[in-house]
Formats: sequence, structure tokens, C-alpha cells
Amino acid sequence: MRMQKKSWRIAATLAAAALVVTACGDDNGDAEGDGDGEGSATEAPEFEEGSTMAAIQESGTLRVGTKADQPLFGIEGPGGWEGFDVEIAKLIAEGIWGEGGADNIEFQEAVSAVREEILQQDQVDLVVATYTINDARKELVGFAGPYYLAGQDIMVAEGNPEGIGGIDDLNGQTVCSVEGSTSIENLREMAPDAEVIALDTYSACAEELSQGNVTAVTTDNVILMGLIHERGEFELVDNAFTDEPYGIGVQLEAEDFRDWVNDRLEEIYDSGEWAEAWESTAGVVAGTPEPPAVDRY
Amino acid sequence: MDRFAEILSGPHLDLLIVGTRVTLYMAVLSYLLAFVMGNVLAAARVSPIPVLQRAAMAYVSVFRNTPLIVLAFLFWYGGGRAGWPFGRLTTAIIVLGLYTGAYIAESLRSGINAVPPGQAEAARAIGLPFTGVVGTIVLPQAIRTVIPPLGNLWIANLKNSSVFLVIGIDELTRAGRRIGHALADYTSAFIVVALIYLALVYGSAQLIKLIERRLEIAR
Repeated sequence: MRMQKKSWRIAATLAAAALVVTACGDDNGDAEGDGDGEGSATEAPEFEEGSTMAAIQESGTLRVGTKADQPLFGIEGPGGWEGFDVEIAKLIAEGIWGEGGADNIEFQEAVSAVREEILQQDQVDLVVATYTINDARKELVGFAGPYYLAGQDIMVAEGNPEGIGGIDDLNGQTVCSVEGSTSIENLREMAPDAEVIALDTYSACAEELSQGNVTAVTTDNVILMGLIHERGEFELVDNAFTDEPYGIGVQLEAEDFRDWVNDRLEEIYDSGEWAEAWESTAGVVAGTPEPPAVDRY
Repeated sequence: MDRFAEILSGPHLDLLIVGTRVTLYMAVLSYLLAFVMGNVLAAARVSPIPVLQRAAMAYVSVFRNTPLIVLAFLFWYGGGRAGWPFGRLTTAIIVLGLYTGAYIAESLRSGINAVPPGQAEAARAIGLPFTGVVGTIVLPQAIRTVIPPLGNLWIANLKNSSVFLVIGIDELTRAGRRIGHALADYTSAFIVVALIYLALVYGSAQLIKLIERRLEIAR
């Protein structure tokens, strides 16, 4: 008897929840009409009291660390903060406060070396800064996501005159990268017959490519996309051969927040807002990838 | 000690051998070019033709007053844009030769000034043309007095070849950087590289001393 009663209650709760969800959907539809810019979160949700999300919602600000010098991902320009990472942060803010929530973000620059520290010292709530998830970092901070799979890729001259399709095609070609980087080690290992030109900066490599001294430049696709965006005379092969899962850093203790950000990521995957964020930023130089599966480790 | 054995074996040793070879190759060829340039420029400096004098002076001041690394970037990247036809290594050798050439010209000029004016006057008196006066009477004596500074310039030239790693030449210093990075031990890698440079320089200094002694007797 008791068992039956309990399952009835669960069913009732589920039915009620379904009604609420449908009702919300209808409301939005009525209010916004058929606007295609409609997001997945137009109203502020109610968070459980005492949760990290409730605290942030109440404080009225989401403190986000991002890159200030990475074109297409995080850059502080004359028009404010821009890039894919910035868009992702805005979508998360909209999940907290509903539409217009992006205005509540307080951005600050997070250079690579300080990303763990600013989370540990509670200077930011989130780090969205081309931040690769790895085991060593997982000891120090929490990671939601990945929200993007970066990787080492190849940049060639516009029109790809040598028809480079991937790392194997670099054998027998002259290829530039930066001495001492993981990228150049991968190149020497994975394309052993490539003639490697080792320089000190990627912009020098870009100059070599521009002058036709080398066939290709290889390093993380995010860096290459930035170079392509700035100089506009190259193209990305868009066939990454290593995996760099980018995650959203949260404070290690804030597990509820990490879970919620993961939920929110899945929400913006489904709503198409993730793809829109890509298309309006990095999408100008690279095709829209499939959103990666969230890893709830 | 194990670390040094590691550096001096396998792929790291290959890098050092290739790097040393490239460094020596660059040093020798660029010095030959520098020597020719130096002689031509010094002759122009002491020639009776004002245009040649000025041109040589301008050349020397441009190449002596510009850092070598700037010249390397300028010729390789700037030149590349302007249709410079030479490859990477050839460009490095040419730039290094032109640079050291300016210094050799100045050394030779001081050597020429040290040749008593009576020598040139006598040569002219017996009817030698300017090229004959300079080429057969003055320069041979001048070169002898400047063997020690020319030796110093050879050493400087050899060491300056390391600058060209910035345009992607895989010479000895670059080999040191690669090994230092691969072993995460720059100190050991550069101790080895420094010892190789020392051996190259010390060896050539002995050779210079020998030449100096030979030519002294001839005087």
C-alpha cells in the first residue's frame, strides 16, 4: 500500500512539473512572439536557498575571469569584452538571471598562470579562458564542460595551394612552429619527414607563411584562428590532430555550481545558443563544431 | 655526469654535430665574403675618388651602427617582401658577411694608414696606377699589420653566427636550445654548447697565431 501511495505521489509531482514547464514555454512564446533570437532562459529561475547559484543571483554580479588578448575567444576591445568565451559566460549569466543577465557580469583578465589562483582566492566565480581540463588542475579547481574541444591544427596560405588535409600531408613540406612548444614536438613526432623551421613567435611563422617560405604553420587551433582573423590571408585546415578540452573553471568547493553550469551548457547546446555564440565569434574563421559531451567527473 | 653522457649520445649528439657544421660553414663563407668586402671598401676609402670614399663611408656607418639581429630581420623578412632572391642560409651568410665586412674595412683602413706614405709615393713615382699602388704595395703591407684584429674579427664573426637562429637557422646555439628543452636542463646543454664554441675559437686562434708568425718573418 505504502509503496503504491509513494509512486502515485512521484507521478503527480512529475505531472505537475511537466505542466509548469509547458506553461513556461507557452508564456515565453506569447511574450516574445516567434522571434528567432529567443533564448533558453528568459526568466530568472529560483535556486535552492544556500546554493552557490542563489548566492550569486542575490549578489547581483557574476565575476568572470577570461583572456583579454586572445582574438575570437576572449579579448578586451574598444567595444568591451568579446569572443566565444565571453559569449559562453554571458549565456551562463542569462541562466542565472534570465534575459539581460549578461549585464551583471564583471569581467576581469585571467592570464594563464593565475587562473587557479583567482578561483582559490575567491576573486572570480568562473574562469572561461581557453582553459584546458587536465588532472593536475582538477586538484585545484572544479571544471564544468568541456564546452569546446580545441586541438593542434594547421594553417596554410589562402586557397590551400599544396592541398594540405591533415598532419600526414606535412611530411616533405616546410612547416613552421615555435621552438620549445608542445606543438613543435607533436609536429616532429607525427610528421617526421617535414622540414621544421623553428622560430620564437607564431607571428614570425605567419610572416614566413605570408612570404611563401613555408607551406604551413602548426599549433593550437585557437592561436591559429586568431592569426587568421588578424591577418586575413590564411586559412585553417580545420582537422585538429590533438585534443584540448576547454572547461569552465569554478571554485573547487562549489560542486552544486559545477553541476548547474553543466546543466546550463547542455541547455544552450540544445537551444542552439552555443552554436550561435560560436558563429558570431570564432565561426568567422572556422566551421561550427559539434558541441562536446559534458564530462561529469 | 650522466646528463653529459646523455647530451653527447644519440639524437642529441646528432643535433650538436649538425649545429656545429652549420655554424662553421656560415662562419667560413661569411668571413670570406667579409674579407672581400673589407678590401674593396678599404680601397674605396683611400681612393682619390670622392664618390667612392663617401659610398664606402656610408656603407661602414650603416652596417656598424645597426645591431646584427636587426639586419637579420630586415634582410630576411623585409627583403623577402621586396623580392630578395636568396634562401634562408644564404641570406644569413650574406648578412653576416656584409656586417663583418664593415669592421674588416675599418681595420684595414687603420692598417693602410700605418703604411708610411713614402711607400705609396714611391709606387706612384715608378708609374703604377691607383689599383697597382693599393693592390700590390699598400694593402699587402697593411694586411700584415692588421692580422691580430682580423683574427679577432674572425672570432667575433663565428660567434655572431648564433644570432641567425632568430630567422630559423639550425646552428649550434639552436641545437643547445633544443637539447635544453628536451632534457629540461638548459644549464648542462649550454655548458656543452659553450665548450664547443670555446674549442672552435681556441682552435682557430692557434691557427691565427701561426699565420701571424709566418707573415712576420716575411716582413
